[in-house]
Amino acid sequence: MLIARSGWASLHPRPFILLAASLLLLPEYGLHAQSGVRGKVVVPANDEFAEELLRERSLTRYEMHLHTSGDPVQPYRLSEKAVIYLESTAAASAAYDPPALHPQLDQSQMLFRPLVLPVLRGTTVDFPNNDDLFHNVFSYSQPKEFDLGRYPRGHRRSVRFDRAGVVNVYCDIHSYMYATILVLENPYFAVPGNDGGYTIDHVPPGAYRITFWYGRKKVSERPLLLEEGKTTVVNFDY
Amino acid sequence: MGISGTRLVVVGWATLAIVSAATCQLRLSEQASAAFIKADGGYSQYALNRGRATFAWRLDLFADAALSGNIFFMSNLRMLQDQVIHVDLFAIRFADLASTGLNLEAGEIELPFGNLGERRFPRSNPFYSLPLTHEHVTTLRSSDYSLWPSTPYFAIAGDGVRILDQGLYDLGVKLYGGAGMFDFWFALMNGMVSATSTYSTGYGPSGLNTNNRMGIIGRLAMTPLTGLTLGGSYAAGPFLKEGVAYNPGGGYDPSDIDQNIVEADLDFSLEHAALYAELFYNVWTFNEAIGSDLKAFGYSVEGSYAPLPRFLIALRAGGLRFNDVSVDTYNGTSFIQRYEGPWDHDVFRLEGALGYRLERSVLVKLVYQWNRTYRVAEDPADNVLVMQAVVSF
Repeated sequence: MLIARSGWASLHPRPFILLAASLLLLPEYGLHAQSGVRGKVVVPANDEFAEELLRERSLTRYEMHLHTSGDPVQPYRLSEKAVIYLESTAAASAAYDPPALHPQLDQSQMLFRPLVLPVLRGTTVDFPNNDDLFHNVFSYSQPKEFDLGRYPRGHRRSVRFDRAGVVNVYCDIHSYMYATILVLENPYFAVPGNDGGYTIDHVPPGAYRITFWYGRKKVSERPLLLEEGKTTVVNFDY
Repeated sequence: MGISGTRLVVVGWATLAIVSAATCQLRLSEQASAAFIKADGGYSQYALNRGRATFAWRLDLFADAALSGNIFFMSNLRMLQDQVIHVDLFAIRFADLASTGLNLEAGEIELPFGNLGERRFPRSNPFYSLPLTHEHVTTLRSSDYSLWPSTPYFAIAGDGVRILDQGLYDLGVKLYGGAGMFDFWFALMNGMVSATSTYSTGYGPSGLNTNNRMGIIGRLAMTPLTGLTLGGSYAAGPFLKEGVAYNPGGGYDPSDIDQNIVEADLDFSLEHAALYAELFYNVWTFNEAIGSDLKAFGYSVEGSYAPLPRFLIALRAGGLRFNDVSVDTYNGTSFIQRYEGPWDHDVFRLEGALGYRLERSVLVKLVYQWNRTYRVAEDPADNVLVMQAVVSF
């Protein structure tokens, strides 16, 4: 997946093999009228995304000295690269208030953080630049096309996302930089904690699709029936 | 390079790529472009294909490998419709030497002269060609230092060296680094910026040093605020090849005749606009050999603006001016007449470009070049229209 899109090739076998995602659906009885879903995601211990991005960054032919100094880059935390979300026809037609606080897609150490940012449709996302050089954030994705131009460290630009879908974000100056904004139709999504655990509460009962997004792609998608007052456990393996 | 040489390059490059891939991670990428070109039919080096409408293509292949945390291999091949493969870059980079922040590159390197950067490649160049200083073919040949100012074909069609040899690559070594707002580069190379050893025609084995000295380049740039870079470069060294055809001054070694060139550049960008400007002053030191130095002054100012996502508008103006000389011209066998006047013809080019990105990796351009030649009896008709599609992956 990432290999093909980023142009990386290797004759080495991958340190891990993409396993077929598995789902464990274990009903559990709760006390509330509304439903919920919780579970745990298990992903490889190493951070393949950060490793590849840093390798690409090291091969930059210009501005090279700017990233050979400074603090070492931290690997992406699980919460920066994984999202679990629910979709349904009924939930899509409902109206939800976007959060007043703007989520951020940071440009720092010549990388985007987080790698995946889930937002509710109608949300405004801020794009702060925290590097001592320019980036030029843009997207040509169907839900939202934008080109933020160049602005210095400490400044930010904002974009409101009114259509649901996948927004692939790039930097026009540093072509290896990418991130994904998932514009979702309902607020029933979660990012896992560092232990892989996640919880989505206060979900109206009904039929949904539950999706596990990891890095650049949708890893697993399954139907899910949420019964009133019950919390369902759904685990994912990558 | 003939076809056997071409095959050798492909096999060698592919072998290296495979070896690199076996031992480390390798990044392969490409830029492919196809163009439709229609020039006016005047007698000019800019009137590509003598004014006949034509298609052209170009392919740039990049293979870069991270051999370790601070050792890298960088390469790119360039192919054109003539099907000759040019190895532009083939270098090993040692980054952050002994944790000093210094970097060393050796092999066939990108010469640190000026600030062309990624604009040398079709994907990042809003125009079809490079600035005139990199493109204009002068009347001065590096193989026999003949001057042909009074011969119309060579004077206007061009048969010599460029002031800067297109994308600027040569065999050598460069050391570079940065401190605070300053960046610096120093390079040694076989050839010279006007006549790189790899591609200049003439005598001696291609690629190797063909005279007694090496070329040197120094560059210093400062970035006082994000988006503004001011730089200056200097290069000096011999550009002629030993074994040249004649020796007009008597007793002069080709290695005694240098190219000295100084350059200043500005790079400014903010929001959706970018501005690049460069000034050049160049001297080929022929005074003692033929009685006149050959001088050239060049400039280029380029602005671009992205009014909407996907769209780009760009405008570039550039020109070259040449000094008057008083020399005996040579026809290949004897000196034929005294010539007094400019040793090449002043030129000016105004270019406008519209760019549109169909996808992130697909760019289409429409470019128009308005070319003017001065100090000639008749300004040749040599305006050029180009439509180009660039795909990168």
